[in-house]
Amino acid sequence: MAASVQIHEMTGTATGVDKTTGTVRFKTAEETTVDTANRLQVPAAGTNYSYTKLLRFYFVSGPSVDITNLRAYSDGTNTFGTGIGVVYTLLGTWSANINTNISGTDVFTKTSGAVIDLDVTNTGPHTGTGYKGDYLRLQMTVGSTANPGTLAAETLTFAYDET
Amino acid sequence: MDINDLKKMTNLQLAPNVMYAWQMETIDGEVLTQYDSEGKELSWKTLDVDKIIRCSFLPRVLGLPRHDIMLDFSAGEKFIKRFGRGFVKQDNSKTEYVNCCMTNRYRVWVFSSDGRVIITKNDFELYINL
Repeated sequence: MAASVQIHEMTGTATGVDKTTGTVRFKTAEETTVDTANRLQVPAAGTNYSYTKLLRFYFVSGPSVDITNLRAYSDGTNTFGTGIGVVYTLLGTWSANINTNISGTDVFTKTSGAVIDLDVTNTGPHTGTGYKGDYLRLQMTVGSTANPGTLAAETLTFAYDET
Repeated sequence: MDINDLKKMTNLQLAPNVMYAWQMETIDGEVLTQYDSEGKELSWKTLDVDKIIRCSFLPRVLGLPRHDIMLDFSAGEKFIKRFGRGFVKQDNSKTEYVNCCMTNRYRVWVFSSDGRVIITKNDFELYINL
């Protein structure tokens, strides 16, 4: 049986919300709801940090043999505008979301030519069903030079090799 | 009419990773196809990879072309592996699935959405912007 793969926003060690078809919204609250509550503010000075978002692969049905090379990447263009960024770090185990600076790497530097490796710690080959690979921890940063207003969505691409 | 129109007409909305089935043939004449007569999925790893002389990708829907990769043993070509690479855009607005035949000389990547092919060096990792 060919694998069925989803992307989940994690709320616990092995629990998450399917966001394969949904939006991951950065907020000032630790929740997965996509609405206009708990919006990020443009600071008068310095930088505001969103609560982090943890994303992870979830296999609804497993591969016939195995899955390897879990990857993620952006299109390389930050269209959020001046003063707004998204950074990432990788976690091998679940950790509660935080709203302090994670000092991550700019996710927009990771493109189809320089992808994020999502099975560094939780290495493949992956078999069976359930959560697989590493946690991609994302955080939005908002600096004082940012313009207020609603942002258009950016999209990450996730990739995997199925044998 | 394009391939998407054909898919709609025939109502074959298969998942991207089952649009093609692989088929391998060994130099001994043994032929193995991804799905057996009962639809059960098989593994090409049961074959002796050193004997695989043909790797094919067979369309399972109308409108997609068949692709056959013949390995020239006399020229030193060797089959390494077959795998599929899935791509999921996080908002699921687009997905893609690419079947890859990897040899010691090159890789042949077959796109499930429209059957087009990209041939690369054998160590090239194809990641696409959907």
